[in-house]
Amino acid sequence: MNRILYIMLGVIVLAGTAAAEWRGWGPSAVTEVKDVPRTVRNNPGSYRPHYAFFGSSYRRGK
Amino acid sequence: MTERTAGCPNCGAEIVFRWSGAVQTSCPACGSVLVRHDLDLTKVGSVGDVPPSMSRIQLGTEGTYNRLPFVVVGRIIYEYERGHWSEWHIRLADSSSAWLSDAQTEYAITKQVASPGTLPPADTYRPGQPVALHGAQYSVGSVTRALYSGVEGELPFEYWDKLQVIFVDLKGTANAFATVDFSETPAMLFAGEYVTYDDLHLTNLRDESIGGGPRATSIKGLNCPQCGAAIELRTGALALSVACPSCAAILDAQDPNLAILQEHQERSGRVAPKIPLGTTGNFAGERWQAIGFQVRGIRVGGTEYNWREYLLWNAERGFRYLTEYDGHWNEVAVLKGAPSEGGGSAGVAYNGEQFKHFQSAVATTQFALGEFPWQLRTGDHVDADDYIAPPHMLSREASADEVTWSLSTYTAPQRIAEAFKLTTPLPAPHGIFANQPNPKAGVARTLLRAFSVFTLVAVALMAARFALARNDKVFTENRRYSVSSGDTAAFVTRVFALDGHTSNVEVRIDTDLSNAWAYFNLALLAEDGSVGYDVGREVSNYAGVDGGESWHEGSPHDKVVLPAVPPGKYYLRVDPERDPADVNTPFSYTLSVRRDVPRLWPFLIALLLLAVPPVLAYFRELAFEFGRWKESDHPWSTTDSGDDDE
Repeated sequence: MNRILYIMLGVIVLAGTAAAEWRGWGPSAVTEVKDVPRTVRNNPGSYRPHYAFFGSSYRRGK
Repeated sequence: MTERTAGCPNCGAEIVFRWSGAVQTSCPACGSVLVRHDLDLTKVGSVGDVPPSMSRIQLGTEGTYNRLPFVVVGRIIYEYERGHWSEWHIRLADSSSAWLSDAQTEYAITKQVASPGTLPPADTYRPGQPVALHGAQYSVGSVTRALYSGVEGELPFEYWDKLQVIFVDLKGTANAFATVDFSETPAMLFAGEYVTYDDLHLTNLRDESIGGGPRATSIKGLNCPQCGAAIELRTGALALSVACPSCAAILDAQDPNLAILQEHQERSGRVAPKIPLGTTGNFAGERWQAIGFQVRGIRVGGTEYNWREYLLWNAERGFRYLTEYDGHWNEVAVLKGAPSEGGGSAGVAYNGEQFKHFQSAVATTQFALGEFPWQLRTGDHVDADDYIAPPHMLSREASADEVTWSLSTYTAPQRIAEAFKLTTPLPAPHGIFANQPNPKAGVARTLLRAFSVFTLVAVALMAARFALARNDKVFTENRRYSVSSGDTAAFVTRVFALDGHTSNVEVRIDTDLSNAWAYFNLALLAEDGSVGYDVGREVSNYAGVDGGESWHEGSPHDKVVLPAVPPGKYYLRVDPERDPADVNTPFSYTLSVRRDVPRLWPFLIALLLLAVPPVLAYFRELAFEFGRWKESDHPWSTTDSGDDDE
């Protein structure tokens, strides 16, 4: 029983890993946004990044 | 075959010789003991009363030994502290003769060793002592002082005027058995092996309905001389002591009046057997009757540990035991041979199995009920050593004149309850018993084997992934951050194509920063505006010398992987920033983008995850063993790395 469950777990984990690698899934701090204004190409400064925790301007404390 | 005949010199009856080599015989008519000189017979004595026997073997019984037919032609009867036993003289089909020992349903066949060499004198043998005789290794099983009790039939030598005789029984490996017989000078050596009743395929046995016999079902009814309660003897002549079920007095079962051996037992120690005495159980098609019950105990470190023993009886197979401690049951068979000592560190080996020493203690009988084939008293004690190889346990019990080995096999309570059809359920086992099989044993090994396969599969998947990944550099651009040239503002790159299936995108930043940092607001944006990916990356690179030691922190390079980006045309929007204090110091950097980059770490994490169950199983197995050995003479210690930690 233990062996069967473990084999099932192994198959799921390895298949999941292979699928994730194939599709490029993975943990990331990247924020996905939809409907980006086309004007960004003409006016790059007008774009406001959507990652919230640092805001659009990074201020480092070094 | 023509059998020789002669006339009895005492009564004239015809004497038929079954074996031509017989030196002595007895007259079935008048009981004279006759010594033969060719066909002339001389009376040398009388047979007297042959003691009652539980054995079904008789003169004329036939059987086979090692596929060789034999017939029982004579018998010598001895009396010792456990009653009587018979040495049956058998004539084999090859005209040789041998001895079939029949003591309390234990059978052994031996032949006299013609030139045994010089045998050590009787007073040099001690129970348990290793002995090498005639090229074989034995250990002394018992030293028995027996009384000659009678003869009948044909014998290969004159044997009729003995008194006390000393026998030393020797147990070899497996079923090897030998006896040193000190009835003659010089002593004689008989070597052979233990056999079972079934091995012998005996026929022409005594009718079990007359004179008892091992199948005797008639119960001898008596009354306790102390309290008058009815007492039943189920094993007849084999019983040497019996404990009254009412007053618990221990009585001499060999005495017609049941002489009291021990008046009473401590009432506080009275325990009701979970298997009622007299109950018959069925184990693997064999019927065993519970006839005796005793409570025994050991004292370890000031703590008393008591267990219960049930004596079982089967007419052909003799005696066996069931033991119970804290709900843990064992089926116990007394070994005929002796394990070989020295099977590893302080262990023994038996039947190719290595046993580890578990515990040594003095075992004391504390309470008894029912009948026993030895003269039992409460307070009887033996030196007991236990060796384990779950589900088996070998136990060595040594008294002053005997060493016995027994093999226990751990048994589920349900098996006992079903065998004896007990109506009261037996309590569930509590704690961990010495030879209890580890329920977790082998799980870790099984999972580890599967894990090995998973590792191979993971490596194959990794190899395939690295071989098949596009890993295309789809964009690269060199930039310079400079206030003077105005290249500090946000900008967008040219459009580049991300081909293939949905997969990751790696954005890499290589700078020439030194003791400085910069921050990059990055956005990978679809040309058609349908989707974008925002991420901020810091690049910092510092190095120096502090207190004479150089140090380095950070890196002038950085990269980020954007997950699951669909194929299409994209561009980067980049907004570089740097330390306001260094804002006027320019630096160069290169942006590059790779499509479908293979990664190692997901497979490593998967393997790490899959390693958890085998590791957990191993620790659970270890925890069980820790609990087992905690109760032994060799508890595991986290600080001790000695031999005990096995």
